[in-house]
Amino acid sequence: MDVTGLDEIQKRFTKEIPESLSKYIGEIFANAIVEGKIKGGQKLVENEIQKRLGVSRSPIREAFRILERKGLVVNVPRKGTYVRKISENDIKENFPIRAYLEGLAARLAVPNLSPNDIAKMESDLEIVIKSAKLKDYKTYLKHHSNFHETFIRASKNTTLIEFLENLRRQSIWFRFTYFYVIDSSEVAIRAHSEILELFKKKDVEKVEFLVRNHILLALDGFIQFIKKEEKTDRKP
Amino acid sequence: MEDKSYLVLFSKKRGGRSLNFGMNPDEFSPQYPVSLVTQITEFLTQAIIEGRYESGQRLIENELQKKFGVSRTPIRESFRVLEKNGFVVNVPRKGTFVRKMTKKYIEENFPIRAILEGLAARLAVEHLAAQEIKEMESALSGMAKAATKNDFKSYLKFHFDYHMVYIKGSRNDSLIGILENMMRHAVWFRFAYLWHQENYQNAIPVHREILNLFIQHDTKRVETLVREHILNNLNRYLQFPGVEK
Repeated sequence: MDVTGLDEIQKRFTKEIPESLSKYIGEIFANAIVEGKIKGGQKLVENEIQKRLGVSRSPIREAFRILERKGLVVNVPRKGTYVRKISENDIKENFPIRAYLEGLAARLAVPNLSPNDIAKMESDLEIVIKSAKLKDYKTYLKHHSNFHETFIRASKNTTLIEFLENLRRQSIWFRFTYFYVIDSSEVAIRAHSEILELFKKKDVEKVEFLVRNHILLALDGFIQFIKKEEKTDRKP
Repeated sequence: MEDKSYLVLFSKKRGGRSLNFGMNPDEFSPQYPVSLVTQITEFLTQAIIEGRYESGQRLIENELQKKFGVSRTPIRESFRVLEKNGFVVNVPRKGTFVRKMTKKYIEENFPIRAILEGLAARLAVEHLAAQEIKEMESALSGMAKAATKNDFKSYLKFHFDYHMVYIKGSRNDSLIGILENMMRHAVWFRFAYLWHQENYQNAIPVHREILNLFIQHDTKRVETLVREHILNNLNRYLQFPGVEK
């Protein structure tokens, strides 16, 4: 097992035992995987993790199951648990599902969005615009995420929220794996401004359609980026 | 004579294994072709659907070990499969309980399934081969014949086959996996079973309409109709006995 990956995990793991140890371990691994600290194809070795974190087998196994449910690892019977390898196909499959479900979340959010929520999205959008100009992509991505999370939470459908949490996390994972940074932020910013206006107008039909479309267009952008990268022979 | 029609849905098409309807649950044997875990899981699933284990009831490992004459491992593995399929919930440090069917569960999952099946239908329009259209035709006529004969067991099987053709036709493996999982989930069984019993004669026309839209390659309308077809049942499901507020 890759030593650097596990070092990172050990750094993040604290001895204060939280409510659910397996959930906690799962979260740490999920973040490390998504950020590329543990690469696709790597095997997660129970024994090593046990030793490093000082925990027993059970929470680790349960954590692996959680990660599998989130689509981050694969358990191969009689072989072990491995971090999944991302392919272009994963991206092509993930985006439409996310597009439709976020559209649904937007639709459900309309009656629930408080003035506070709207204000929050306004301020996140402002920061997105500023950070795009400054080319501060980390801040850009963070506040772009916040914008989406606000209305997703406002849908009040806990199953949907959890679903989207996993799907959105996977798309971050794709971004890191392919070193994809958004280069055409103007389109994205315009879309988000429009979306915000539709939320204010409480236009259920149009906001669902626009949110959905925004993500489907993002898929096209991503695929084009990958094609360009493949030409310059830079693969994950 | 109990109606076990929903159990046809457990036959593993790819593996070729199926639930032996005539099997006596007390006659478990490790030599039986279907794995021990599968036998136990199918037995417990049936028992939960039929209400022999009540909503919220705890499934006690020791008792089940004795009942089936097996060790802890197959019971625990079976619990994991049951949880994955939505029939039980494992509460850490407390135990495994039969999942309660709540209003919230139905209200949350129906729209998700409706949207995703609509997406699957939309994607399928471009991909469905003539052979697959034929499969939908034959599933539909199977449904119609079963309806006229009041053969609910066959009706349910053909209905499932019908939906799976266009879901698979989406060619999006993640989507197929999500929808297959959702359709296997407890709520669809317990209530689809009850609802279809009352309404299956009336469901034929809408399935005919959907198939026509696939044949006509009407992407937009097929997505809308599939979505609505599923959402229309939401309120009816909320009325069923056993739904907790």
